[in-house]
Order: sequence, then structure tokens, then C-alpha cells
Amino acid sequence: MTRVFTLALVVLALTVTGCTRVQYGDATATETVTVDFGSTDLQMIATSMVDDLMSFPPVVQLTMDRRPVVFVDRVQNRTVEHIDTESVTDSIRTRLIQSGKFRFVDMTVVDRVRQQMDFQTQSGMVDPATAVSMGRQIGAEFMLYGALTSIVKRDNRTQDVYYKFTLNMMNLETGIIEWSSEKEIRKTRSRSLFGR
Amino acid sequence: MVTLLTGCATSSLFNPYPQQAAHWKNDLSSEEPERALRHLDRRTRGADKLLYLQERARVAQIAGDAERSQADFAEVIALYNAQDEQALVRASGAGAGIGALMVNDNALPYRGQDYERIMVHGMQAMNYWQQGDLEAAAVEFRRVTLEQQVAEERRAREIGRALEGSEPVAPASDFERELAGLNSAAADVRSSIQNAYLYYLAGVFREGVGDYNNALVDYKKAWEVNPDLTLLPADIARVEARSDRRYVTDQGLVVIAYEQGFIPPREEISLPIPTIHGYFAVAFPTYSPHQVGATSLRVAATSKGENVNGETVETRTEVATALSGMAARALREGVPGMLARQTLRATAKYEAQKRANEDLGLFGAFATQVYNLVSETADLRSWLTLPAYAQLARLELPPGEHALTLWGTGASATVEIPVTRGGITLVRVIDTGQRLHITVMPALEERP
Repeated sequence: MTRVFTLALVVLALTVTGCTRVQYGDATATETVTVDFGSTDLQMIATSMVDDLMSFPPVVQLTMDRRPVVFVDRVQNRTVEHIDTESVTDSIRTRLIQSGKFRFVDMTVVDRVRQQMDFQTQSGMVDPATAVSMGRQIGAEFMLYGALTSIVKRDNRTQDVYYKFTLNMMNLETGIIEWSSEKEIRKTRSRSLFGR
Repeated sequence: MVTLLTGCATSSLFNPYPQQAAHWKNDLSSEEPERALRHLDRRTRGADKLLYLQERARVAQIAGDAERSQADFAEVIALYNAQDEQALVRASGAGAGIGALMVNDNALPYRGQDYERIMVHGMQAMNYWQQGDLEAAAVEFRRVTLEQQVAEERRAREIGRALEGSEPVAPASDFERELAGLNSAAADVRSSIQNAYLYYLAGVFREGVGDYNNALVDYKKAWEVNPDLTLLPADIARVEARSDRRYVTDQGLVVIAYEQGFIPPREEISLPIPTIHGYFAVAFPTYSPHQVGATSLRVAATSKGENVNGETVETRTEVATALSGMAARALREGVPGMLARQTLRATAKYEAQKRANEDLGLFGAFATQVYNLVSETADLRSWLTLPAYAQLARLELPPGEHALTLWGTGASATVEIPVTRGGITLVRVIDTGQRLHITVMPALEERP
């Protein structure tokens, strides 16, 4: 009798506690947990920027028979949230590289590259015949930079967020902005009356 | 009932919050401010998580641990954000509501005050600035503006609604005598939301990073909130000149942000009300009209360059924001709601007493009577490690190293600061009575 009781207790305990579940989901599915900047916004911005750039006639012409070298400066975060804008530019860069139309240099790893080059040329441990030679890197022709801004309005029942992402591509030699694009996103949340 | 009364060792249901807070406030003025963190560690899990996290974040900040403070403030901000998302009527809130009805307001989870929420973002901005993360600091300063706007609009709507209804929610006038102290404490400030100190700091920050448009808006806002601040006309003129590119100087700016003392705790007023079924207590929080006044920080700067001419520049800080007054004002604005809950609770307890008198016999009636009197304690919770007064001073000094000597309420200290031409150095001084906690923020330099 006691044993049955204990067993029932264990089963009960298991059903009560064992309800944590892990699921895989679609990484590109629309995410609307909160109005904060989320994965869907990131993907929307990256897609829109890349499509826009690739279909811009002067850029199409420019990339017809060569692959210009570009570097990503930075996207200023001018919102009221802590957003990793580098992750947005990373996505854009990856898609542009994948398109095969552009080549990139990365300014964020310069220090580590220099460290490695110093090791190859100065440490005496690397065969000079295989060491990379200094001063042969290719200079970037264009610079990508931009800003992410937001306007937030909130009252007791609703919250409205408007994001605007601006990206520009400047010709470093002439200083002319060869291309520029904007993506706007608006999200509204209304608080439910009843809930947990 | 038993569950309502037990399990409150770390909550404020029966252990008044100001008494708990006295522990870590004492630790902060001692030689070992880190001890205060240990007092708080085990408390940051219950229903009043928000409150204890605010305290711990501020304690870490005073103790000089910006990284830890930043992590705690980030959690606080997430909690406030979650509050915005919550449904208006919540099933899980019902339990606490019943608790508040049968015990006292301390059973309601702590939800923070508007002025506290705004201070959280301001303090967080300082954490980022101290660590040199200027972009994140800028985000928090924008949040400071946003939260003040949101709170101000909500307050305006509430007043509008109250005027439309034209019927007072609860007759606060019944307790006029008891609330007199609160009224005089609240008279110090014009608003429980707008914070001139934070506007000024945001202005300093934005001026430092070259965002003159917004800096000008911030300084003007600060002036609007506190027209008595004599620093501001010069600041506004300077930033206007800077944005027109006609500002020339061979000096550097030093701004001293002085946070004096601790915000006073709420006090309880308890009134026994006799009825035919027994005594009932009415208890509500208030602020004492006899507050510690503002004391300014005396500052003297001496140049340390090679060509020392021994010249010393002196100044004193002036009050930008009286947080003690803001707290009193916020409390007074909450009085109608509190009285409404008080009335409901008195009714519930009155019914319980009547039942007990009829059904439970002499002992039961007596026990219920004792419970009714003892359980009625006021909600004394508020963020108590905030400063009572936030003050400001500004110096213009020639570039180079300077020794800054500071005399606070109970201690003095000397600190060396760098001054750059056209740049801004912010020195933040937190005075806990026996000690000055000084942080020199990374200097912001004028961009070419």
C-alpha cells in the first residue's frame, strides 16, 4: 500500500516538475516576443539592404566585370536599446560576399593580423620562404557606414517603436556617396487586459 | 493565513524596510563597503526583487564596482520592461492582492517609483561612462529622457482623468493633520519626475562627445526644471557658441557631480480607530518634515604643471535635484490610492473581527483583535541608497594635471584629475557621511 502511494507521489512529482521542453525552431520565422529589436528586424534590414544595393543600376554596372573591395566602418546605435549593430553589418557583409560581387577587408582584426605577421617575419620560427610578405594587402575602394535610430512612444496600453536603418556606401577616393538606402520598421504592442 | 504570515524573513511584511536598509547603509560609510553587498545577496530573489536589486546595484556603484553594478541595473531595467509588457489584470497578482487586503500593503510586490526608474537609467549611464563605453552610455541617457517623457505624460493623463471625474477618489483631507509633514517635505520640488541633475549630466556627456544640439536641449530642460541653478546660463551660452562654431577657449571644463547623503526613509503614522467591534488600526507612510538639509561640497583646484604659480580656484556645489523632496512628492501623489486600499482593508478586517467575536469565543476574538492591530503596518519600501541631494559645480581650468581637494559633510579628500583643452572631465563624488567615494570619469575630448 505504502509502495503504491510512494509510486503515485513520484509519478506526480515527475509530471509536475518535468515540464521543461526544448524545441528547435525556424531561424527565419517571425519573432514577436517583444517590440525590442529582434532577429526578424535584423534579417529584414539585411535582406532589404543587400537587395537594394545589388539592384541599384550604377552598382550593377560597377560590379559587372570586377569585384570592388569594400570595408565596413560602423553603424552608430542611436536608439534607446543596447543593440549590437555589428551583428547587422556582419549579416549584410556575409550576404554581399556570398553574392560574389564584392570583396571585403576587415578592419576589426587588423591588430591580430599584425601580430601574426610579426610572428612570421620576426620570431625566427617561420620559414621565410612561406612567410607572408608585408605591404601587399589590397586597399579598400569603398566604405560602408550608417546609423540606426528609433522613436519610441509608450503609454499604459500600447507601445509603438519606429526604427530607421540608414546605410551609405562612399567612394573613398572621391568622397562621393555612391549608394544609400533606408529601411523603416514599425512595431506596435498593445498590452492585454487579462493574463498570467 | 499562515502562509501569508510566514516566509517573510527576507521580506518587508513585518520587518520594516528602513530597518533592513540601515545595515547596508552603515556598511557603506564604513571602511569595508563591500560588506553591504553580502547583506543584499540573499534578498534579491523574492517578490521585492526589483527593490533589492536596485539597492545592490547602487551599493556596488558606491563601492566602486561599476561592472557588477551594471549587471544588476541591467536586470532591474529588464524587470521594469517586463512590467510594461504585463497584462493589466493578472492572475498571479491576485494572491498578492488578497495578501495586501488581509495583511498590509507590504504584501504587494514592489513595483518601483517613477523617479527611481529614471534614476536607474541615469546611474546605469554613469556605469557605462566610467567603463569607457560611450555608445552604451548614450543609449542610457536617451532612456532617461524617454522615461521622463512617458512618466510625465502618464501623470498628465491621470490628472486629466481626476479632473473629469471631479470626485475625489478618497478624502485625503480627512488626514490633513497627519499629512502636513509630507506636504512640507514635498514643497521642495516642483515635480516628482523631472530630474534636473540627470538632464545636466546628459548635457555634459553630449557636449563632451560633440552632440551639441541635444546637449543644448538637455541644459535647457535642466533649467526649466530647476531655474535656481546658477550654472546653467553660462552652459547654455557656451553650447550655443559651440554649435555655431564660434567658441574658442584655451581652458578645459571640470564638472563635479556631488551626491550627498541618503534619501530619508519613509516613516509610519498609525492611528487606532475604535469601533463597537474592537480597535482598528490605520497606518500609512509619510516623510518627516524635519529632513537633513543640503550641504554643499567645497572644491579647491590647484594646478600641478611645471610652471606652477600656486593659484587655487575654489567653488561650491549647488543643489540640482532634491531627491528627498521628489520622494515625498511621489508619495503624496500616491496617497489617494493608498487610502482607497486602506479603506478596503479596514472593511475586510472589520468583517473578520465581527465574525471572530460571534464565532470564535473570547480567545479567538482577542487573537483576531491583536492580529488586526499588529498586522497593520505602512508600506515603507523605497530605494534608500539614492542620494538625498544631487548637486553640481563647474570649474574652468587650464589644461594639465590638477589636484582637486574636496570637503564633504564628514570627510575630505584630494584627487588628481586630467584637464584637456576644450575637453570635459566629470568628477563624481558620492558622500556617505563618513566617506567620499570619488570617481573620475574618462575625459571627453573635443573632436577636431
